[in-house]
Amino acid sequence: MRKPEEETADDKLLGKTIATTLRAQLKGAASGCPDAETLAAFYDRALTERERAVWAEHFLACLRCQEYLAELARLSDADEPRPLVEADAATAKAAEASWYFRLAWVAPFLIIALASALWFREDIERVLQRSQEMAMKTAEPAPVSETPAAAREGDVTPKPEAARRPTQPLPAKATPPVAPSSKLPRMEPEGRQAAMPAAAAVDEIAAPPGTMVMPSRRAVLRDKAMAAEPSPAEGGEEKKAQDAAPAAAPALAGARTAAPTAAIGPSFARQEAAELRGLTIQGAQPRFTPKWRVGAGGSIQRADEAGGWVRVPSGVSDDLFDITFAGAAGWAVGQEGTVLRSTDGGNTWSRVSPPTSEDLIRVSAQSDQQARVISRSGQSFTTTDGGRTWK
Amino acid sequence: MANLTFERFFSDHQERLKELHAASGAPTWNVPLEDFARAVWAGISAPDQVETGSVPSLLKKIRIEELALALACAQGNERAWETFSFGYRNVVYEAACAFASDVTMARELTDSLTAELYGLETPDGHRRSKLEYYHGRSSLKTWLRAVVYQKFVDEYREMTRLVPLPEEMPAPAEGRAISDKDEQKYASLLSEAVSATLRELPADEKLILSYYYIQQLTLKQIGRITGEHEGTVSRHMDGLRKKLRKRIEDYLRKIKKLSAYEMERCLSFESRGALFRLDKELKSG
Repeated sequence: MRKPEEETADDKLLGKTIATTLRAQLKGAASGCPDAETLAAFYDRALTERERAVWAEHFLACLRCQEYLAELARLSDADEPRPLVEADAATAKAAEASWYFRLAWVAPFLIIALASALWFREDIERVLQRSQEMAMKTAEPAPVSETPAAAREGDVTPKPEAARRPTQPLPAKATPPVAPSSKLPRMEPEGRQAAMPAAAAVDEIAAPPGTMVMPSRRAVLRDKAMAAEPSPAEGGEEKKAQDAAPAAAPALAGARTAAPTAAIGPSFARQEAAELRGLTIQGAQPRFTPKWRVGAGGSIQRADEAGGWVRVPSGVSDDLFDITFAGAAGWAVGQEGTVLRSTDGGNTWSRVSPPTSEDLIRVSAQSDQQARVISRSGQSFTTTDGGRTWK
Repeated sequence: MANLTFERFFSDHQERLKELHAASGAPTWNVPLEDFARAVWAGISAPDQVETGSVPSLLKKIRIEELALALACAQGNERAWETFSFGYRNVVYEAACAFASDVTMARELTDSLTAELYGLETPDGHRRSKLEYYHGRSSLKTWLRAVVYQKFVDEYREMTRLVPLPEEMPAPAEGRAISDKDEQKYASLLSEAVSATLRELPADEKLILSYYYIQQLTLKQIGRITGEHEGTVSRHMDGLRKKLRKRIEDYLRKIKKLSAYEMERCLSFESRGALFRLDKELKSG
């Protein structure tokens, strides 16, 4: 159906004729009008079917009651989300379109990745399991004398039991320690010594007798990581170790670098960091977030932990309609352009210059300098200087 | 409901009333069970000419939390009043702003009604609050809006001009205006055709036309009253207008025996200088 602004002149002519004729037919119809509650209940569709039918019959003929219902319908516009002014709507639409575009771009890849993950689930699980086993294996110390002897003797068969025998349980999710060559002196921090040789030992064992022991790819990567921070205390030994087993020497430093990571307990630090970022960790104790409300006569109240409300002086007597916080910065708005700002978490408030004399009914804020307010007519005003000026 | 008294209602449904009383938060506001029950009874025991149906289904529809709050306010509970003030004063003020011609009138209307809701002292020393008239059948928000409008119509509307300004429409093209005599004839024919057509329409269709053409509501707003989606209302209106147009044309052609040329004169704005007269009729009508 055409919108009113799209109606032709002919439509409007017919419409006006209909309006005039109907008004004449409905004149003098009203008697026995319902009270405010019945009218409101009719509008809320809270009457029984029979009641509704009876009152609907009355409303057909009663212009006065139709007017009442029309006003209720008009007032319900306030219950709908407020439309933004054109510029903001365009910006919001553009931002939304941008998000849709990004999502549309990523979506096919996500779908493919998900499908692949499902298709190759078993293989992936197998690889993960194998990695875990390898990690466990490198974490377990093998007796130093055993492996080199075995290697020297040309025994190429790895000794899984020895290699995997744990000497020290690792913390959960810790970075697996790396092991230098078994020929190197034991200079690692306590607790990690026994774990050291295993990886290098495994690398060495892998080579068949008579062949040059080439470091595995893993050993190379490990050595590179270790080379980042060589330990000053072991400089001499390291040099010797490098001559003896070039691939393994940096393992000392790398191992020491890795150690601190492994030693940190994961749960507390991450929980605290996440809380500070405002995330919620399941099971963590939630922080109390105070609630605020505003109302008539400049009233601002904060909920306390006991469930009551504490009044905070606002310094104004105008009705307030909305309040928001961005960190410690608070903003409140109300009648006839009233805008209040707080920089101390709502303990004190001061008035800032009003952007308009209209009632302001909504406020949003990014900081104590940046905020946006919306008037009753839907106009939007923004400040970037704490309310000194508005655009 | 004519045979059911409050005492019988209370004794027959006491357990259910106790449940509702507890769930409504009325004990928090120190509202006694009997007062709560009386308010519920007032809500569901509609006038005799209206059949109200079975009590359990009626009890389900009562807005018990809002009723408890209203009762507590009417009884002078300051804490309840504070809760009401924070939650609903803005509803009253927004409605007042919608009706009043300026902010001053809106604030005056709000303050005046707020005082009545809080409770005024009667000559015999008792406190009487308008919230006593709320019985939980509708939402408190809708009820407040209806009360604001009622007060505005009764006390304030005379002070403001509510006659809508006539809609601006372009004058008909020069050289195509018809004589006054013909103009009157066509206007009269159109009016007669519309009147005859409207009389034959079912009442619910007339009501939608009234909301749209007299109350000037949008399709969405009409949907709120009829309980339909805006799209459904739009389709209804579309079909209705086409039906109206066809019946008007049929009336003019078959009953008034107008030629195609005369019908076009009758229905086309550009052919007539009718609009200015129509506006006058609207104002006087």
